[in-house]
Amino acid sequence: MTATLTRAATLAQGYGDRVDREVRTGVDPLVTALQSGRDDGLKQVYDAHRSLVYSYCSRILGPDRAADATQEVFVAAWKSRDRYRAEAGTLAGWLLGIARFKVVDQTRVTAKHGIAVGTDVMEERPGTTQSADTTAERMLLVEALRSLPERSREMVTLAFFDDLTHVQIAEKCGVPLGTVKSDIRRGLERLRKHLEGFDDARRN
Amino acid sequence: MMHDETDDLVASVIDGGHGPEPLTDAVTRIRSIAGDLTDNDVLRLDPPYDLWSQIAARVDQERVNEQADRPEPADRTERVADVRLAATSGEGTADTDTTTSATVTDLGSRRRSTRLLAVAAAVAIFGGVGGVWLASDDRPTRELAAPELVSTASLAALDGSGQSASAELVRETDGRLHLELSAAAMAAPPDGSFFELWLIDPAVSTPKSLGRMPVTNGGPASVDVVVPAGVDPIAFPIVDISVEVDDGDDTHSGDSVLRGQLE
Repeated sequence: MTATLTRAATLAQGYGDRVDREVRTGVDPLVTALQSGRDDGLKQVYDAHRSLVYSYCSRILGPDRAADATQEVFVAAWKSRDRYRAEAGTLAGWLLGIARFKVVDQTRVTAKHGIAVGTDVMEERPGTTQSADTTAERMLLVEALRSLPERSREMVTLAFFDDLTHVQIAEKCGVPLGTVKSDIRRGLERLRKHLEGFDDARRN
Repeated sequence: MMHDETDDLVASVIDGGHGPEPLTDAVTRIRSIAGDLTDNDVLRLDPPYDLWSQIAARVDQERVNEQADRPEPADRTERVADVRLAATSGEGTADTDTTTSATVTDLGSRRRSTRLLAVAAAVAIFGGVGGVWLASDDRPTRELAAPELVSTASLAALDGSGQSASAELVRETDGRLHLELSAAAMAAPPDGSFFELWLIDPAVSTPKSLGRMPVTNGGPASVDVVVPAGVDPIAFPIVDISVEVDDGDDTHSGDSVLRGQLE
C-alpha cells in the first residue's frame, strides 16, 4: 500500500501546475466561472476537470462510451450550476457526483442490452453501483492530494497512508510540529471537501 | 489561538485519539478509502480533442431552451445592461433613473464613465442584481461602437520609491473588460522574482491575479490584460502590483510595490 501511495504522491507532483489557488484562499475561481453561465466559464471548469471526469467514466463504462458520458456530465453541470453549493464541497467532488449518476444510468442500460463495459464494473459485478461509488471516492482522494501544495501533500500522505504520527512526521520532514499540525489539518479539510462535494451531488 | 486548538484536536484524532464524531468519521473514511487505492486511481486520460465543441453546442442549445422557458426575467437585467452600456446624459447628481435616454461614453469622457460606474453600482445594490453584471455578460452583449472607459486608477508606491503608474479599465467593443496599465521608468524586480498584477477586494481577502507584468529594467512598462469573467471590478476595485518569487506559489506574496483604486 505504501508503495502505491508513494507513487500516487510522486505522480501527483507532476500535476503541480494545477495546485489550486482555492487551497489557500478558500475560494475556487472556477465556481464563479461556472455560475456565470457563460461558455468560457464552463470551458474553464471543463479544462480543469475534464481528465478526472473522463477517466472516471472510462473506468466504469469503458473507453467507447466515456466521451458521451463526459459530455452528459458537463452539460448537466451547466444546467444545474445554480444548485452547486461551495460550502457543501469542492467542484471536483460535485462533478464526480453528477458523473456517478450518469455512469450508473448508463450501466443499467448497458446491462439490459448486454454490451461490454469497463474493467472496473467487469471485475466487481454485480456491485455496479457500489463500484461507481468507491471508484469515485478513490479518484477524488487522489485528486484532492494533487491539489495540495507539495509540503502539505507529503505530510498528509505520511499521516493517512503511512500512518506516521505527527511527531514522527515532524522529525522526518524536519519541520516544527505546529507546522505539521496546521498543514495536515488543512490537507484533511481538502480531502473532506472533495468527498463531501461528491456526497452532496449524490443527495441532490 | 483558536487555530492551534483545532490543529491539536485534528492531530490527536489522526494520531488515534478521540474527538468529535464527524471528525473521527472523516478520518476513518479517508483511511478506509486510502487503504483501497490502486494504481488505476492515479491514472488520468484526456478526452477526445473535439469533445469540448460538442459540449459547447449542447449548452448553446440548452441556453436557447432556458430562455424560451423563462421569457420574463429580462426586464430588470435589461435595465442594468442599459446602464452598463450607456451613461445618463443629465449632469445632475447621480441617480438611479436607469431609463433616462443615454449616450455611449467614449474614451475621452472620464467623468461621465466614472459616474456610470457609480450608477451601475447603485442599481446593483438597490435593485438586488449582483454587481457582477458589470463584468460578466452572460447574455448576448450589444456591440459597442467604440471602446468605453469604465474607470481609472492612479497607483502609488508603497515602498517610498516614488514610483507611480496609471491604470485604465476599458470595455472593448466586444464587451470584454481590459485593464491597461502603464508606468514610467520602472526598476526590474530582484533576480528570481517578477511583477504580478492583481485586482483586490477592499477586505484584501482574495486577490485575483491578472498575470505577470513584464518589465525591462529602467524602461517604461505597460501591460494590457483581459479581466477574467467572474472578476467584478466593483467588488475588486484595488489595482495592485506585487513582487512574486518564482516558487510555484500562485497566491499573492503580500509584497506589494504599487497600489491604487479604480474610480
